Amino acid sequence: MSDSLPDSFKYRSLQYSTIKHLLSYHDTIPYPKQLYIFGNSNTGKSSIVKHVLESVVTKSNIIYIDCREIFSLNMFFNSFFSSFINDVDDKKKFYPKNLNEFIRKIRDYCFKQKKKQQHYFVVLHHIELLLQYDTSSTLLYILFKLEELTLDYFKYTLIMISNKSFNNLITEHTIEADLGSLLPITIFFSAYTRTELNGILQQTITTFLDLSSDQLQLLKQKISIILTLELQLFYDVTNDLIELKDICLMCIKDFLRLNERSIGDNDDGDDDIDYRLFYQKEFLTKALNSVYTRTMSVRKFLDTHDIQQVKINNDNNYYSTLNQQDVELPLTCKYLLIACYLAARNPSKYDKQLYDKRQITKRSKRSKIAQKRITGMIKSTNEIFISKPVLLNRLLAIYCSIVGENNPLTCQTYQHLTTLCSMGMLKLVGNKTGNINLNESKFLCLISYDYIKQIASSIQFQIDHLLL
Amino acid sequence: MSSSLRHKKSMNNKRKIMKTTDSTIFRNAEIEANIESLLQLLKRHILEMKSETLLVSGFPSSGKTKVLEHIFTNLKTDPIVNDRMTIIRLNGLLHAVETPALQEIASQLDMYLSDCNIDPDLSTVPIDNLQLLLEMYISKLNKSNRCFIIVLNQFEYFAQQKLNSILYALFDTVYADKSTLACYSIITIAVSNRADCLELPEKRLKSRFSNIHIIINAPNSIDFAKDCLQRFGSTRDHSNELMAMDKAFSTYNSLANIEQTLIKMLRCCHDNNTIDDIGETFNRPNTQIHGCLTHLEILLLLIGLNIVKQIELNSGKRIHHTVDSDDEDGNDGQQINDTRITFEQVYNEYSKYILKNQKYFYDKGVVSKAFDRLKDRGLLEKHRNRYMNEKFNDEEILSFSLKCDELQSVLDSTTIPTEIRRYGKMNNI
Repeated sequence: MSDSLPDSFKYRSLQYSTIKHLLSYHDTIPYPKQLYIFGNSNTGKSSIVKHVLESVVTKSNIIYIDCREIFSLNMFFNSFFSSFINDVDDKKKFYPKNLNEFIRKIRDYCFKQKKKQQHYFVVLHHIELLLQYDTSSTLLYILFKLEELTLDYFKYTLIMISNKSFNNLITEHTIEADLGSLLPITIFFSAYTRTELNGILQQTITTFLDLSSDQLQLLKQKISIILTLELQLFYDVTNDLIELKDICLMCIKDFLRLNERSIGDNDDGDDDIDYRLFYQKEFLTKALNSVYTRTMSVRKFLDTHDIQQVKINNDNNYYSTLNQQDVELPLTCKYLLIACYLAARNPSKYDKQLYDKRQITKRSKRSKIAQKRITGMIKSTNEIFISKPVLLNRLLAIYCSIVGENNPLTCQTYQHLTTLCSMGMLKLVGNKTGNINLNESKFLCLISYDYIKQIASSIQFQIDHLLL
Repeated sequence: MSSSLRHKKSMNNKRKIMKTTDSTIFRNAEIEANIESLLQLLKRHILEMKSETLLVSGFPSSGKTKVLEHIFTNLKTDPIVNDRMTIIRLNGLLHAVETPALQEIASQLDMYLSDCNIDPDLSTVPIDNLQLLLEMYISKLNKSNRCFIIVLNQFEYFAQQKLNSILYALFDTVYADKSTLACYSIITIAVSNRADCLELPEKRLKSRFSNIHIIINAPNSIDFAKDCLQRFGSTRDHSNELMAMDKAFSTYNSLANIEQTLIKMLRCCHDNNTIDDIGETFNRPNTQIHGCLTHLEILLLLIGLNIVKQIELNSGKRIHHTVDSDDEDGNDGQQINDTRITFEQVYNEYSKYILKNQKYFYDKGVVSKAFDRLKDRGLLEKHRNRYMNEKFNDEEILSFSLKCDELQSVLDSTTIPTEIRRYGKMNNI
């Protein structure tokens, strides 16, 4: 049996040594009764436990139950016995229907085998899922007291693995007063730090890539830099190793594709494209919003998104590759679009009544309604809306009004305006000769009523109240 | 009707308070004397074929089972007593109802029959009468004058069982007419964590219990620890660790926890931080959120707590939370678990926050997934409706299950970005 820890768990050496010392055989010191291992998901808890048990214990003494595969207590009993009993003929006899039978059958079986008094290790992975099926709220206590209930015939160590701390595991219905006297030994698996994740991902991703050792050597540094760039964004959102592995692997595959293309394009083999320019926040955010949220698979994302093409698209103001409906805009952009639409739709003489909050009283609202009745024009949502250019100052004034006083204009607001222009939702217009007056910039709103309605509803903004 | 249940004049004090330790098993001569007197009482009852009921109570894990097992082990040393005695152990969580209790008794009696090389078939025969079961057992053994010691663990669950309780069957059997071929007695030992467990059963059951009530208090933690260390064969000086343990166990010393702590200490004695671990092992572990949550998750927690605070302020409730670490009136980080929120409420507040701080702008799907991870960690719990007919909304209603002081320690950490810390301070979270 291998005693060394696999390389992928080099940051878990302390937990590994603690668990190994607890579960190793000792002449005089008994095994611990209960062990509770918890921490974030995908931090190596069950892998370390399995590795330790396989190295110190014979396989027949390990009863491992993954509670994600358990959907009732009967399933749990059957899974337990299928691991516990080695003899196939005996297995057929043991199908307990309830807890009483479960305990009795364990005791009877151990009583028959009493000459070979063994110590078992019962591992319950994701125990919080199993406890959901416990209607009597006594299962956890009974699992703790199994040795006593089986009259000391079944000797075991209960190893529980969970994402939650032990405090949160005990629900309001369990016998907390009794259970409080039976605290397990707890071992905590902290989340990986960014440096550790970088190291692990560099190791594991290179094994997934189908590259020769020479290619790997050439690209190793660039892959490392890309991983660092990715983690700068992704680590703020998730520190889950498996999630990060998926999205980082995808970005690396994209880089390799770009690399091959650039090598193919340059006949003399010059690789002077600064790849770091490409892996900016926009691309990584797209990856996060699609692959991380599982709205798109890795393969589909690679097929539909290409970092170079996305950059070209942004440079050429070419918008048609992306469906308007699918783009999730920043909040500022949404408010800017709403402000522009309102400015284009409503005449400027009603701005004070509509947007000046100090003057929004019942009187002004009545005047608005009266205006509607006088004109007798009912604006249909299906009417074709001919957009008029909107002055920048007016646009920003309406924007500030609908956003609120606490959000002043910043340079990022102007940045978002240019983004919207590049996306084709707004258009910077000039006079008939084509000259653009920067002092009095004018913008044209190019979006439809349906789309602005959708944007407004996504931020719960009642745009219809402000449309005349 | 036997009068042996009601009085025991040989016992001077009807209520005995004992302290238990290990290894001799007991250190104190007075305690040992009391245990000895109980031992003699049981021996006498076994030899004289008298029935009795006793109550043994004490805090959880204070040594009740250890005392009884020690007594039973001593009883077995006497061959005559051992020959007459049959011990049956039942647990109130599993055997409060008559049918499963009878099945368990039959199964345990079969084990005795197996030991005597007699065909064990009591559990295969459907028996619904305790007296019949015991008499069948005696006839199979072909020995009369048996004494059954029935230990009822978690007695409060037996007492709370109203219908088809095994207690009725048990006491009916005690007072039933016995045949000459199957002469037996029953000693019932009720074991409970509750001091008021005798108030729980009905009057007619309560009256069947004698006045013998033994209360067991847990021993001094250091004494017990020293006994355990001796039993585990440790010869090193563990005085520092024992001092740390005494401090950690100052409020309540559960023998099981002391033993587990010592096992960890002895097995992991190479670790340098063992002394610090002792307090941590015993004390309830905190949620360990520091260092395990991402910045987005911390921000969502702060936003959620801000919403809770606003809701409670609006509803007029007084909330207690530690604002300042120097605040003497701080209530040590009271848990917030009453006010309910939904994800949509948190997302709306998040949308307002990112208007000012674009750095933490993410898609709704990403925010939702971060929220789900908080639920997986147990920091947010799904609210359980109290009433069955209360309508469920489409949205999941959640409540917090973390303490303010834990989050406060995270906010005070230097690794948290300034804007998040500022948000927490500004909203007095």
